[in-house]
Amino acid sequence: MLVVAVVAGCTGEPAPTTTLLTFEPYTPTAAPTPTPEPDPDEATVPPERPDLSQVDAETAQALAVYFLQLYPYVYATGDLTDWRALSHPECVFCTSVIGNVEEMHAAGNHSEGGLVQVGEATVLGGEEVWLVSVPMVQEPSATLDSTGGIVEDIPETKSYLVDVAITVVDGRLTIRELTPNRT
Amino acid sequence: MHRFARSAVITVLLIAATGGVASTNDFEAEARGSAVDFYAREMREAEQAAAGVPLAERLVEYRRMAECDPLAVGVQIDGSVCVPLSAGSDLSTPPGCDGLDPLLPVWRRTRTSPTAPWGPWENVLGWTCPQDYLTFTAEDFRRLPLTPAPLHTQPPGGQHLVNLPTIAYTTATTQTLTTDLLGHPIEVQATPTTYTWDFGDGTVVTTTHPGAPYPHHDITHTYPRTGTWTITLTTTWTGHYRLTGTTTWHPITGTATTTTTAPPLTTVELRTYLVPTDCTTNPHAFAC
Repeated sequence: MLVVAVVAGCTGEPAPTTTLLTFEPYTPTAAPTPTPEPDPDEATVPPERPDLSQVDAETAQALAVYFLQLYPYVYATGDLTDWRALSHPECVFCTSVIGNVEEMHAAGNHSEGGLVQVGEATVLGGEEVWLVSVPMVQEPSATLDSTGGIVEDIPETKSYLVDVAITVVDGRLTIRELTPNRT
Repeated sequence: MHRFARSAVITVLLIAATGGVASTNDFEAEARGSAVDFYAREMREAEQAAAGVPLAERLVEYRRMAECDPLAVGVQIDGSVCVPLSAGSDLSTPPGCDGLDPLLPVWRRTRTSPTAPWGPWENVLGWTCPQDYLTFTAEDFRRLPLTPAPLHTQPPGGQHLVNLPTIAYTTATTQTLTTDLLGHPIEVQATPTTYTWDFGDGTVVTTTHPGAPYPHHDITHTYPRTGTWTITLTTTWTGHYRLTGTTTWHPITGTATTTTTAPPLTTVELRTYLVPTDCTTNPHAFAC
């Protein structure tokens, strides 16, 4: 099936005028060719927001996990409302994501997939500062243009141990920095 | 999700066609700071803040120790037991730190009042390497006992005449101090960079040169009326630091200031009078 798809892409279509390849699912020529149902992309469903009103280690842990789950959602939808609200202005990782998501969606592209599965987090805590370590797996993902053409594709499932530093700003927990370490 | 399995082949073609792709939705491709270093610096600041409170009044205490074993029956450290580490925490292996000694894990305990018993020791930081976050901050710099720049005036205090210039200068030079960062000896170099001269009558001048004594003076002020004035010099210092034994100086982000005050100056007016005799030898003579 893989081979057939590529052959169809190379020979069955006129030469693409842009550098983007349009992905066409393979359909047997003998069969009628109904428009395939697009995969509902789970990444467009916002993750369930935990109660983040408390200032304690448990909430810090919940925030770290929620923030990681928000990652595929912001890339899929371009909705950065909650991401921004939870990011400290000096958080390098948070700011990088904001820039990349804005750039992607300004170009008319979006991401699919890349859902995040988290393991059991550990928390170290001081006074109004916490370090949460979250084992995490990210599923494969792809960036598509407005016509469904694949712009970029990450086929691997990647595992990380993510360190998340959390501080308190105006009485609310805020992501101060996030560092993914490949495992 | 079958889409991703098939698109793997297409990616190869795409990279061949374009020579590269935009980075996106990839944890590894994002810019990032170090959450651990940030947290470790915060712990160090909390440690220092707690140590600044007198022992008897302290409500929070930090201690660096390799381990604090909650399973050892009856073992307490200074009246506090240890809280077991959460799953995933590992304090067993000190890291290799490129020749520097690793820093001990940090434990913390609290009490509700100076007379209340201490709570248990909780681990708040594991083993770390000093170079990861041994940053000498502007706050550290400002805490150093810098020698203030000496302030000289000509004439040197006492009385001087109205409408004649008063000269100010300093002989400040770069000074080197030694201190420590978490037990690591470091050297700090402080260099005077700007000088703010407050002549006490509302005149304030900022210069980057230290001035010079007569006759090469370039910082002067002329008081146009009588009065008593205090000249104050505020010196701004920039700094560099290095771990003792290493060769690389690192700049300190931020500056420190010192102030120096000269003995008060009194501006007097002298009038000339015609007198019948020498007032120095006969001060009670007519008109003296």
